[in-house]
Amino acid sequence: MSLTTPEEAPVRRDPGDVATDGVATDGVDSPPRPAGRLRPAWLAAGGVALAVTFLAGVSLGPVDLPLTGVLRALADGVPGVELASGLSEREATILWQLRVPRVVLGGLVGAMLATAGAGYQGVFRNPLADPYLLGIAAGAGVGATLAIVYGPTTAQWSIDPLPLAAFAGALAGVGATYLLSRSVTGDRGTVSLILAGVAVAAFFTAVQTFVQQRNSDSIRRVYAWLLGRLSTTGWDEVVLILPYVAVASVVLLVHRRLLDVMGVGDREAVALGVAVSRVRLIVVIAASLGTAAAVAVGGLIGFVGIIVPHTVRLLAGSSYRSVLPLSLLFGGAFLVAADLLARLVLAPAEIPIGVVTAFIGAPFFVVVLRHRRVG
Amino acid sequence: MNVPDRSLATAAASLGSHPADGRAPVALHDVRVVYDDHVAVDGVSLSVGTGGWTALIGPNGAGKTSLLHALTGAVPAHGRITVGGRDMLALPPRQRARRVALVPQRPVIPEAMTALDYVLLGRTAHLSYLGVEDEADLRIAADILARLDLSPFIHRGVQTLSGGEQQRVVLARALAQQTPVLLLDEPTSALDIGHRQQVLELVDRLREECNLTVLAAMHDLTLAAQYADCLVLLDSGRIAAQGTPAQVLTRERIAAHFDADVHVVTAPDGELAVIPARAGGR
Repeated sequence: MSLTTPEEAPVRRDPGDVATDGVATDGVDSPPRPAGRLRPAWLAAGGVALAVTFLAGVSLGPVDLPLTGVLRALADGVPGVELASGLSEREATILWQLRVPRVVLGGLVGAMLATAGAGYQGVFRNPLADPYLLGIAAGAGVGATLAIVYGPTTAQWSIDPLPLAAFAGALAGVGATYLLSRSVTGDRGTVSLILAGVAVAAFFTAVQTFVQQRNSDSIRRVYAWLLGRLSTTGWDEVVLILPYVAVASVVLLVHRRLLDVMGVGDREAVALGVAVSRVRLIVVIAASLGTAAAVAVGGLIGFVGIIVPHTVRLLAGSSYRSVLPLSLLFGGAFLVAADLLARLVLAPAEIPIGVVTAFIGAPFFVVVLRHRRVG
Repeated sequence: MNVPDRSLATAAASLGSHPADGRAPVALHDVRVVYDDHVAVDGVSLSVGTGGWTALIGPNGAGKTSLLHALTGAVPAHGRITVGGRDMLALPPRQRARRVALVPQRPVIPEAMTALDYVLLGRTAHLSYLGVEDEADLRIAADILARLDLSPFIHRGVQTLSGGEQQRVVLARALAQQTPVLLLDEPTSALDIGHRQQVLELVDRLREECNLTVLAAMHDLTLAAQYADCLVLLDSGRIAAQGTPAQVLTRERIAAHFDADVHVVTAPDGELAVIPARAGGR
């Protein structure tokens, strides 16, 4: 989204450079360009990152697929394009039934967690807010544990009950948090909501731990889920979460300017004309719904919701007009890359993806932070 | 302050001029603001004339800031508040913010936000719920920044500016709301004596040029007497006195409400000045 008119484009330099020349308005005709906007170069970088990780994700694995064949097969998949991929039938099956669904799922989960994290940080004006803040993680944990311990197996059900149980648990967690904060304190402030989230999380975690300890034979499965994992059975998981991720992402993205306004605090935002409680409620609902869907299929993948928005902030500026869309793109790319590492490093064994996100995410974040300080 | 020629013509349009329509633009009737544990504003009735400057004075905790927040809708209030005849308490935030703009006492300035982006926040009330600023909004923001001599800082981070510059940027944001009523909450408390004078002179000129109605909480009684044509003395959430500076600012009244020993003197040019008196003298 650029507010620059074509006529002024050659005159105007990079908006980041304008600050140094100290001149503000140039000429009567063209108003100055605001700084807090999404720059096309960053948007392109996000797109490239997503494309590169996507191609690597679908090509690499226990069976490496030839890149040209993959590209031709993907092009062939576009409606109206007929192209012979040159992949064998087995390779084509691996591509379309294993790799592409998994990479798409990773991209959706990563994009959702990062965007939701940015949304929470915006409405709570708290840089440490993450998508699991309001009892979602603990609620999903209870749901998943109950499903693993007591639920029917996939052989009994046509669909896997685990994601549904985790999704329901996540919504129960965030719903309980909201109702508790409203009923106990009666105010709609952020502090009561966050404290209610702490109480709900503690309670749900206690329930989850109790169930888990009583059924030690399924500890491994519960533990694997808690650490996060992206495993797919064809396109089922993608179809399951796509509507939630799409709606939640769009709702969050269209609130980008209002999240910038809310950066001045509730009282000033109201004086500027923002219906603060309503905006906060809408953003929290969207982010929670999207997070619940992501957690349902990915387990508790940590770190993405904090590290991606913060890296974007450090690199491309702290306006939510760039933080939200770039978190979406880089969040997707980050998780696809992390999943690739999780599959490759100890192949054929898989490392839990939550371990990978933390293991490569933390040092990367430190590097960005250091670089930013020096620069 | 020097004002670039270009901005004079455009700024008048950007700031908007608000014709005097004879009605009191701001009228409060039995306004109460109640927090959990105490009553901050306790039945205040007040009407402020169009184009005038009314100063709210009173000791700390008298309810000045709460009264201003009641006007913006930032705190829930009871009673009746009208601006230009419209019932403010029944209006949604966006409609309220088109009628009154606030310069807060301690504004929260987002990290790394430039002056231009900060002033553009003031356009929120003129955009649809999910709308974004267009060229006209940018032009208004740039013109107001130019009018306030802030053009050189337009792309600077607000947090990197000096106290006086920051205060003008915050004022610019309020002016970008293009409201007929401007609320100031102790606008000069962080400024030195020179910058205090400059900011208040600026507000006074804008008030005249654009026919703004100014309602300002002021803790410096001398400055309040110099700039306001009406003083309202609040104490414990109630109006203790109101009138011209000479009527309100008496030694006895200041002693009673501020617990302060002062001399109220008349300066050579006829203006009132409130000077603290040291107990027992020297």
